[in-house]
Amino acid sequence: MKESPLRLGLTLLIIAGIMGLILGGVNAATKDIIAKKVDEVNRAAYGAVLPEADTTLMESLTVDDAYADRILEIYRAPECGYAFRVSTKGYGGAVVIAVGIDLSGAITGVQVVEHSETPGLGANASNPAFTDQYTGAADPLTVVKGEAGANEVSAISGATITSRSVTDSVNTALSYFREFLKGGTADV
Amino acid sequence: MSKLTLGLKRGIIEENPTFVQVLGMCPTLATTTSAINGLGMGLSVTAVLIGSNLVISALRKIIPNKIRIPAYIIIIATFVTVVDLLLQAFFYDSLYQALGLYIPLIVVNCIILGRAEAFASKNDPVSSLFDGLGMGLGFTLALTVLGVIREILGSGSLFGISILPDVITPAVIMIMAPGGFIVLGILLALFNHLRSRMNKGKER
Repeated sequence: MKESPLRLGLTLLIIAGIMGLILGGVNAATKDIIAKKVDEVNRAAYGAVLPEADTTLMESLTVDDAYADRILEIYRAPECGYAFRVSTKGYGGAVVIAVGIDLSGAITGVQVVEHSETPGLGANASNPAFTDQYTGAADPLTVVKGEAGANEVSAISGATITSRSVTDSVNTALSYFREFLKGGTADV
Repeated sequence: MSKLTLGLKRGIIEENPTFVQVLGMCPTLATTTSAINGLGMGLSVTAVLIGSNLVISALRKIIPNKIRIPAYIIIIATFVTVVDLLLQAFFYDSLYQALGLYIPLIVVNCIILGRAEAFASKNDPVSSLFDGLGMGLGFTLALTVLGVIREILGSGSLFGISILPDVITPAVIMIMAPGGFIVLGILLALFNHLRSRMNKGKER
């Protein structure tokens, strides 16, 4: 085989073309399954933070531009409340949490959805022992070390930054609720 | 010896990619925080390795020497993307969320390009397939052993099931980067000690 540049280029083009076709096929075959799976996992997380909501009825809302960098998604559960997906920088990267707020503005649940915090320290933010502290709160929260009083959250020992970022996210969701959603019936 | 046993023996013992060639250290250290992650990463690499070795070997007479590296990379990247999509579709919550970041990085795992260069481009498809299988299993074995040790010591569990009594606090350092280096170092020493004893035994 003569190795002229044109021939080399064409050979590479053919290989790339065939591989592209294969990828297109696999993508077409898996696209819907993946989208369904992601949706399922999201709905499960929202269902967990809004225990009374019927996850099949939830619909997505548009996030106001002022909050678009922190709030990734808001779902409305008719006559029940709102589920937020909020991202804040933690110790090892973004910490993404799901927050449920009922129509009166009280937190119904918090769950850490995605994080890359230190195992054994910041990663403990996923434990119910930590996230359950938020349930019922309606006013902005602050992080304290040791015992928590009213409107306070007790930090995870050795992971103050993670505790703060989860609390920031919860506060963001609360203030968004007060600014844009309060008073609505959630069944427009 | 048949091509299968030859490939398996070379990949798992004689030229184990982790313990002998010391290749692909980034995923080795990063993903072995638990046994299931190590196993998942190992099997993903095995799947890519078998596919890329087979295709590269089948095309070895067609691919001109001058452009072999870009051609290999395209083939490898295709297989990695296929594995990535399949994992997303069928193991989304179990494996993909833990390994997600590291799957696309298999493209630059030097074990795969290394086997393409050193073996698949010079041998027939059948032996290349078995070479990929052997190397992949060798890698999987190493990662699983690392994952098992780090998970027991660092989280007190095995494949996600708690096995240590609550009174023992697991050593968190074992699932952080330093623990990975410590366990890898000890295993490297142990593996090579056993291998050199085995070889000495043969000489006598």
